[in-house]
Amino acid sequence: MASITVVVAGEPRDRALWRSLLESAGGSAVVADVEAGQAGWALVARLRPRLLLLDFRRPRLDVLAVLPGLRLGSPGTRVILLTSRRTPISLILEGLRRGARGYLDRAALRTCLPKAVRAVDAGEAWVPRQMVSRILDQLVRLSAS
Amino acid sequence: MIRTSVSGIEWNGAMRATHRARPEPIAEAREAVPSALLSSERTTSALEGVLIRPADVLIASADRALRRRLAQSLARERGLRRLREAGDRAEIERLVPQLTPVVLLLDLPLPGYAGLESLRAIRGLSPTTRTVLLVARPDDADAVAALKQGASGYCSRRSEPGLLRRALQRVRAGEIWVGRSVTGHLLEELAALSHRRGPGAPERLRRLTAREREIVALVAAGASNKEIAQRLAIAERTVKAHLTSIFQKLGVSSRLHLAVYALEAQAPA
Repeated sequence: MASITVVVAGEPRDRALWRSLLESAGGSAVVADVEAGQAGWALVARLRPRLLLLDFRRPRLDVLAVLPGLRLGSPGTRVILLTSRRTPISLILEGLRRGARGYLDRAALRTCLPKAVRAVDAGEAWVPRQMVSRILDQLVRLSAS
Repeated sequence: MIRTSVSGIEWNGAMRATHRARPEPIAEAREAVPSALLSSERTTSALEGVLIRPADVLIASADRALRRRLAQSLARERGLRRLREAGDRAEIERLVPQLTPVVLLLDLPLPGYAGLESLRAIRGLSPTTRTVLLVARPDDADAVAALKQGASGYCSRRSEPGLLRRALQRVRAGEIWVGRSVTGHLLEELAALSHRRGPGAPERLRRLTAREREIVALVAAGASNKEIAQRLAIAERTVKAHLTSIFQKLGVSSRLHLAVYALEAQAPA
């Protein structure tokens, strides 16, 4: 696996956990962990990381709002949303429509984060199987309209 | 193009219902039955047939040997009622309307069916049938095209029998069976399309009344119901009623979603 740059946004305690999970998985260099907010987004825009983990457990407007700009400003950045069981599917779908390449439930973090990072780094998606038909439905609807 | 998601949902519901209706004690009871009574697979299927909606599967391929191999591999699959085979278009056109199989395993090209456009023809024969394509050389772009034409799965002809059985199970449960890399392509395309077209937010916002638009602006600015009520000098209950109406008109499900929507409508196209 290529060395990748990861930036994490979220609570400091969570960032420390995610960082250690990524680093113990090997191959991932976490160059920065940043808080969400203006300064954080500015740093992300400057670093143009290969991979970006975004805390989306309590969906925040700025996370959704920043995705399209990120897609334009740093097309090489692949985003994984970290969600919780309570994150509404409609908002996750909105995140995917805005360019996130996958999402991971907090409960699956320890077991799946390294796998998800590798998959997304390789250009694949990391979403549960049940989500694929929803993505396809959206795609077909958008293509038709 | 209309996908048959309604049937998928119904079937999903049926599957969930059967999962719930399949309590552990029954499995234990079955184990308690002397093994002689369970000598054939048929007995097991008959027992399970009561609990799981049985499915008919049609295997369509010009390659007779492949058909046999698939049929043998799937014969052990539980919950399947009839397993039939078709070798050309004429047989598909006869068997699909007659069986309305839950799943069609389709190995293209087939005499009379050359490419992906045949998926549409097959849906015309039985809209509820979910088609899994078997291909000699899997290709992500080809898979995306197949899904958009209505396929529910895309596998290599050389897939392990176990993998095909799993694909069949998932597709029966209403899911789509493709590799992660194909899903990556789907997402890429979805994001590109969403980006280009936008959600059509401005037109929809025009359907709102002036008061409703005021409320949307306040929600987007982060105001609570209470604050909105104070600002507009109306009851909080009235604000809630307006919000329900707004959610319905815009097809959004939450405040946050509404705020995102409003932001998009403001953004230059």
